[in-house]
Order: sequence, then structure tokens, then C-alpha cells
Amino acid sequence: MTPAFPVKQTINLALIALLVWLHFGGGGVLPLAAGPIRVLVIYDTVEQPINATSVIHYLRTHCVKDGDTAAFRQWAATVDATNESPDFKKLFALPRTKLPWVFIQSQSGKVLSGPLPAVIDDQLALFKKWGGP
Amino acid sequence: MNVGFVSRLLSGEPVIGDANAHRIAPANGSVVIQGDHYGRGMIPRDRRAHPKIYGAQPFDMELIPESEWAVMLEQQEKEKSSLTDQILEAGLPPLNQQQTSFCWANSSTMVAQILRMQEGEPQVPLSPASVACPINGFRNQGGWCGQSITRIADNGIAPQSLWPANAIDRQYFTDAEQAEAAKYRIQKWIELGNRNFAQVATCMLKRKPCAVDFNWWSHSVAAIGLVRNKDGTWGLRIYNSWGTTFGTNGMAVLTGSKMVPDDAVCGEIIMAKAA
Repeated sequence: MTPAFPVKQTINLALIALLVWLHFGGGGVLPLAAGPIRVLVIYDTVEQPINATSVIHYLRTHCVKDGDTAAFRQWAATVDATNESPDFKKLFALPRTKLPWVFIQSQSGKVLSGPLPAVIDDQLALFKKWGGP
Repeated sequence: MNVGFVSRLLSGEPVIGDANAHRIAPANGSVVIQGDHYGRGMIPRDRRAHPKIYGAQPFDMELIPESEWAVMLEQQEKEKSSLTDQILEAGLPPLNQQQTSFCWANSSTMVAQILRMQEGEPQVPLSPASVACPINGFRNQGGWCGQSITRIADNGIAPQSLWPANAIDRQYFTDAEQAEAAKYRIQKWIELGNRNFAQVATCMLKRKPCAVDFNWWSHSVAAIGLVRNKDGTWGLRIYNSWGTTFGTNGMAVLTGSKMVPDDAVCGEIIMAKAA
């Protein structure tokens, strides 16, 4: 008797689903390998959310370099990014549900996406989780 | 008298108040306030002719009450998260207008450079002359900060690689220069009230740089921080456009009536532009 869902086909479907999930960052919860990162923070115009020099310094030294500049940006949601790099424009176009919001991209291209913590220590902990100590 | 929290000043930073405004001797001993070796050039805005700054947003931020300034400032200084801290961390150098009368374009250009720094954009030295010259018909003449910021919003600022910072010369005003300058436009800026220090203080506590005009000094500079003085009064940290020899690497604190600008614009958003 042939089962309604053959075992091999079911396993293949599960593998495909897993790969898709991994490709899109695992819903924002899958650990990325710690290493150089690309970071985009988006905020409303009232106040920039990343201000502490400890966090800024960490990002300047742990983000990948685009030329001489660390790949860290924080933009107002209404900024004109026409003249930015394609990498940042892609992140800027990704969906977000509130502000401030952060996208962290690993070198493999996986993207973590979520609300940015308000507290400095939590911000640093988040970035260190993906960018290394 | 115990006034509680007092700001830490930078090493050797001059404090310019009502008593000493006309002869300030910084560490190097030179008199700096009169600009003996540098130009100034701020011409007060004619408010009848220009009641509003074209294109500016009205001040729409929630005003921070003075009773909260000290607590907020203490927290920022403790965290090293003030606008001054950010400028020092980034190593953003002061502009130097030399003998030009373009302080009013230097102040707005510095605001643009600070906004780029805050956005994380590459440091690109921008040219105040590319802002002032088209306004004044390529003459070494003064103006006010609202004029320059409007020009920056409409036409942008050229990188110094295309137009040297103080060059008053039509040869730089080319199609290629204008196309590149247009990528460095301020998108949103706010007009502050006449002599309204509470609004300036709110901008400083929200880490928003301002271009500020002082009639007493005939000079326009960038405002980059609120300061709590030893006597419990307030001060305004400025970033001058007289190079690194003024004050502490271009910075100083104004106090008393000297710190209240007659005109001010706050920069909020600049176009994102990669190198």
C-alpha cells in the first residue's frame, strides 16, 4: 500500500522549508555566526536611537568596511537613500513593523531584523551577539 | 552654593561670557574672539524682508523643561552620548574659513557634516564656498545662516575635492560640481525662534546640531552642546570655523547673554550618500 505522503517526499519538503527559513534569517531568531556585520538602524525623526559612543565605537570597529567607512548607518525613515550603496538600499527596503528598527546582516547575507532595544547595554549585547566580542 | 551637577569642560576650553567676551586668551595665548586672524561675516537677518526661512519647518519638538536639563545632561555626559562626545569620537575636524566672510555658510556646512556623521556616512569634507558663492555672486560678502541652509536644501554642498573650502572662483561652478553637490542636500531643518535659548537647549539635548548667528559677534557658528556651569547657569558649546587653533580644537563655551543666538536653524535629516 502506498502512503498518502511518501516519506522521501515529506523529508524533501521539510528540507526545502528549512532552507527557505534559513535564507530569510530564520524569522529573526536563528543565531548567525559571529563576525563582521552590516547594520542599519531606522528611526523616526524625533531622536536618533544610537547615541552612546561605546555603541558607536563598537559598530565602527566590528562592521565590515565599505572602503574606509564602517558599514553602519542610522537613518530617519524618511531619508533619501538614492545615492547610497545597493547593500544598504536593500536593507532599507525590507519590511519593518515599528521604529526604531534594526537590520543586522552577516557576511553570508543572512539578515536579523527586529526592534532596536532602547537601553545602551542591551544594544551592545545585541550587536556583540552577531558581531562578536 | 551647591548647584549639583556641573559639566566637564574639555582640556583648556575657553568659557566666553559677558565679562570677558572681548579678550579671551586660550592656552596658546592669542586673542581669539575678535577673529584677528580669521574672517567672520554674519549680517543680521532682516526679519521684515525675511519673516520666515524659506522651506524650514517650524519648531515642532516637545520643549524640554529647564527643570529636566541637568538630569538629562548628566546622564548624557555619564554615558558619553552627547553630541560633543559623538563629534570627538568620530574625530570630525573643525572648518576653517580663513579670511573669508563666509562664517554663515561654514556654520550650516558644519551642521551638514555633523548630520552625516550621525547617520554613519563617510566623512567627506564639504565646501562652504560652494554654498556662499552662488548666493553672493562670487563676492566675499557676509550673510546669515538661514540663507546658507536654504541653499544647501535646494542645491546641496560640493565636496572640497571639487570646490576648495574657501575658493571664491567661478571655475568651480560647473555642471559636474552641481550634480555632485545635489547629493549632499539637507532634507529637513527647523527654524528656531528669535533669541529662544530654550529651543536651542532642547535641540542640544536631543543631539541635533544647530547653526547659530550672534549679532554681538557678527559671527555664525555651529552649536553642539549644552553645558552646566559651576554657578548653576547654562552655557552653549560651539564649534567655530577658525580651524583648530581656536579654543580647544575649535570648541568653546559661550555663557550669559553671549550664548543666546539671534537666529538659529536646526538640522535634522540629510540625504544618505555613500563615498
